[in-house]
Amino acid sequence: MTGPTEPVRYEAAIRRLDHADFDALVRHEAPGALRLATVVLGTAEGADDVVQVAMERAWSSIGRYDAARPFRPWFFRIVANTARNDRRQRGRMAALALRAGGRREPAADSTEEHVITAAERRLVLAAINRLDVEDRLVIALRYFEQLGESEMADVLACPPGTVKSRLTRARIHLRRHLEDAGG
Amino acid sequence: MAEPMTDDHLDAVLASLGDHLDVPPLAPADRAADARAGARRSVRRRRVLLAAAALVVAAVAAVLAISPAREAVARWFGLHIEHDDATTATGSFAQDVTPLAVDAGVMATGIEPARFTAGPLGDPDAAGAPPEGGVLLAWDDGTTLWVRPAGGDLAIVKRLGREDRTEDIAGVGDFAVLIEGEHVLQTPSRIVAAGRVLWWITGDREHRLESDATAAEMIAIGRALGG
Repeated sequence: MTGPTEPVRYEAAIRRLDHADFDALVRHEAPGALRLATVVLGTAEGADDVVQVAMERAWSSIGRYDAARPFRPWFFRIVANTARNDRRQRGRMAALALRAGGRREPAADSTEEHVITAAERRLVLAAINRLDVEDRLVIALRYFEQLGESEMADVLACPPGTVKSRLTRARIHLRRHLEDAGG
Repeated sequence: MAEPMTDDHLDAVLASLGDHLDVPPLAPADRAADARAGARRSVRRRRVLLAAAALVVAAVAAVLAISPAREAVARWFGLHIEHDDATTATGSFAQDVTPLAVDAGVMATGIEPARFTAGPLGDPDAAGAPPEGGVLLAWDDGTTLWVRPAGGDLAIVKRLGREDRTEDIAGVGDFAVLIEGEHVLQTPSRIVAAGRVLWWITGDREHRLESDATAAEMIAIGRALGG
């Protein structure tokens, strides 16, 4: 949505973000963009095409990018919207088929305090597959991309307080599906 | 698993999943340059988005399973809003649309062109005539506006999932309703998927705005266009 003061800001943004900057930013954010597109689509199929279209849209509308703000939430918002549109065009019965994979993994993984098994990841991923697209998106932004509330608010175009409630709701739904699955 | 995961452990599993999600490969270094080149090439291409969509024939014949609607929650100016989880859709409303010149499309809406130019959306990027009649305008961000004569014999049914909701909106046209959640739009011609929609009546015209914008942004757009 454009406002009366934005053309000036756009010109400044264009001056400050040249081709090399754009390529570097996109290169840095591409893995996260692919994850996000995969989560919104519910499948890895077509996620690369969504990211490619999102990149084109980002470059086309680079004049609207406020270079004083982080690139990642702005770009992720375009990716999420592009993926939503793509998913809608496929129809709402698109099969949800998020799968674990992507890197060779040992039987168990660990963080500082937690040992995480492949079985646990499969169980949680199965529960995520049963969430609606908006719950999945919130989970992905928070946990997969490690965004803070302010950045999530930028992606989701909502106040930070709403992010908190949406995340809480998504976790409740996730818990419910885990309980149904015995986890 | 015998014991439910603790919140902390669930957080740790979720945080680990990002690295394990099966995603397609992408060569970002090449793709970024391609995107810039593609963006230049596609400015015109996307401006005729509807024209292209109208020429696309669905490659897959979808089987539509239609069940009786369970609950009628509103009947309004020929628009029936019903709860129905079982109906499935294929394609989007922008498909099967005959292309029109954008200026002609804007004129056909009966909305003053200056309202678009000065409003939050700006001027539309494409226009077309859907098989149900009226005119469809489209913007590059995926927003569409369908304007057609209100009432008449055309039966439009919005089939909503159980978690979808409707809300009466004041101050947009003569009467307006916001429909939240992905749902199904059924017309005599087709059954298509739809997302967040603001539907309003102004005078003798019915308007259907569909967008990924927030509800507040859509209401602002409706007010800017709907008087």
